[in-house]
Amino acid sequence: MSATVADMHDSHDHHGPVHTGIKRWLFATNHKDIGTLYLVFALVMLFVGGLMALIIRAELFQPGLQFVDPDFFNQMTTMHALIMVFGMIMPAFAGFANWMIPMMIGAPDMALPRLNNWSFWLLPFAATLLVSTLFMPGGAPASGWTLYPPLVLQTGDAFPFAIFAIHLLGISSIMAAINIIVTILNLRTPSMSLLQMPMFVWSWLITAYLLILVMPVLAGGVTMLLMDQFFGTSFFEAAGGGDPVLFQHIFWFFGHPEVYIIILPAFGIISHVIPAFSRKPLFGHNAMVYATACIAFLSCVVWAHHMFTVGMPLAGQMFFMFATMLIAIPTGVKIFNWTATMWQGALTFETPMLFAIAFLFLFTIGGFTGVMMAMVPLDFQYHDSYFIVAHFHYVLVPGALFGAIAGCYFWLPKWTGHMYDERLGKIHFWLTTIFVNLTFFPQHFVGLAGMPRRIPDYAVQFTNFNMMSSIGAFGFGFSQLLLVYVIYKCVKGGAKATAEVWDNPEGLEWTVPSPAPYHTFEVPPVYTPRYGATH
Amino acid sequence: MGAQAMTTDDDNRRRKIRTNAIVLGLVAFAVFIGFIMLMGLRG
Repeated sequence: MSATVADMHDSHDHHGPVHTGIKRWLFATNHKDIGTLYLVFALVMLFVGGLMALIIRAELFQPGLQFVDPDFFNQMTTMHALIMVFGMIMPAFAGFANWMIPMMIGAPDMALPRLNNWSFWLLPFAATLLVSTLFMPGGAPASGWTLYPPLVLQTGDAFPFAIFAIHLLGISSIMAAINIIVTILNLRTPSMSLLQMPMFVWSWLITAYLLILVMPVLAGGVTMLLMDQFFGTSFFEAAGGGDPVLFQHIFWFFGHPEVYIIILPAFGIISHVIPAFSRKPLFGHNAMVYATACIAFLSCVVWAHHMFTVGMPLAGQMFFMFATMLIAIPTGVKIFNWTATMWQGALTFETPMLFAIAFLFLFTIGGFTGVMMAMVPLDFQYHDSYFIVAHFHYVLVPGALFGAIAGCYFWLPKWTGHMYDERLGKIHFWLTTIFVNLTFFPQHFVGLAGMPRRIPDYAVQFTNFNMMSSIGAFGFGFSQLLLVYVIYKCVKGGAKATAEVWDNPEGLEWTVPSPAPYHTFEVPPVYTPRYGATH
Repeated sequence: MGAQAMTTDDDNRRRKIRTNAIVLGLVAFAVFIGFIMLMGLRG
C-alpha cells in the first residue's frame, strides 16, 4: 500500500502554496499551513501565559507583598488561566487536528478550508484583545477564569472587551469543531470504517461534538453577564430576582466538559505514541473508543461538583458525587489499556515515549486527587485551597501539555522532514518532568494545610513549600526554551527522516514521505488495517 | 465509472458537506439562543 501511495505523491508534490511570504499564511487554506499557524500561535501563547504564571510564583516566593499589588495579582491568575486554556492548549490541539486528521483518514484537506482559515485568524485578534484588557482603565478581569458575578461585574472598562474576546474564541472553537466533524464524516477514505479510525481521530470527533454542545452555553452565559451589566437585566442579580449561583451552573455546564475537551485529544496522542514505541497495536482499540465516548457523556452530567460548597440539596450532592466518581471507570479503562499495550512490548524510550510514560504516571496522580475531591465531605475541606490548584495543574500540565509535547516530538519529523535532536529532547524531558513535580507537588501539602488559592500573601508556615514551588515554576518555564530550540533546530535541519520515521508505526500518515508533501491523498488511499483487526 | 458519474458524486459530497456544516452551525446557534431564552423564562 505504501508504495502505491508514494507513487501517487511523486506526481503531485510539485503543487506548492499558491501565495508566498506573508500572504501564504494570511490566506492559508491548506490544512498543513493552518496546522502550523495554530501550533506556532499556541507556542507563543505558552510563553505569554507562562510569564503570567511566573509573576504569580515570584509574588508567592515568600510571604508578604513583594512585586505586585493584590488586584494585579488577581488579574494575573485570571489572565493566566484564560490564556492557557483558550489561547494555548486548545489551539495546540486544533493544530495537531489540522495537521494530522486529514492525513490519518486519507483526506486531501479539511472539508471547509476557508472556514478553517477564519477559525485560526480569529484567534490572534481575540488573544490580543484579551491581553489588551490589562492596559485598560481598571485593568483586566480579576475574578478568576470562572468570571463569577457579582465579582466580575466590578471589572473596569475592560469588561465588555474581555467578553467579546471570549465570544471570538468561542466562535473560533465552534467553527473548528464543525470543520473537524464534517471532515471526519465526509472525507474519510471509503475503505476506513468509523471504528477503524485511529484513536486521535476518534478523540477529536468526540471532542468536537462536546465543543459544539458546550461552547454556545459559555457564550450564552457571558452574554447574560453583558446584559446584566449594560442592558438592565437581572439574570444573576439577586436584587432583581436573579441568582448569582445560576451563573455558576451555566459556567460549569461548560467548564467541566471543557476540561475533557482539553484532555481527550491528549489521550488520542498518547494512544498513538505508546503503541509506536511498544511495537504493538493499541490494546483494546474499541474499548478505548467507547471509554472516550463514555467520558464525554459523563462530563456533561457532573458540573455541580465544582459547586458543592454553594449549598445544594443532599440528593444533588449525591448525584454529582457518584456521577463524578463514575468517570474513574472509563478513565481507568484507558490507563489500563495503555499499560497493557506496553506489556511484553519491545519498548524503546525515545522522547515522545518518555513524555507518554510520564503522562501515564502524573496524569493518574491528578486523576486520583480528582476522585478525592468528588467526595462531598472531603470537597468541603479542599474547596478553593491550593490542593485544587495542585490537582488541576497535574491534569493540565503533565496531562494535557505533556500529551501535546509528546505529539510534537512524535510528529515533528513528519512535519519537517528532519529528526529532532534526541539528546536535547531527553534533556528537555528530564528538566520538564523534575520541575513540573517540584512546582505542583508541594501545592498539595500547602492546600491540605489550609492555604487558599488566588491569594497574593499567605501565612508564614507555608513559606518553604511555596519557595520550592516557585523555584520549580521558574525551572519549568526556562526549560521550555529548550523545546523552542529543539523545534527550531529540527525545522532548520538534522538527520533526514524516513517516511515511517519510527519503527514501523501504524497509520496512513506514515505512508506519505517526510516532510509530508503540501498536498496529500488527492486520491483516497486504500486502507488495510495492519493487524487484521475487525475493529 | 464515467466522468459524469464522478461529477455527480462530487456534487453530492459537496452538498452533504455543506448540509452537515450548516446543521452543526444551527445546532450551536440554537444552544446559544435557546439557553439564554430558557434562563430568561425561568424567572
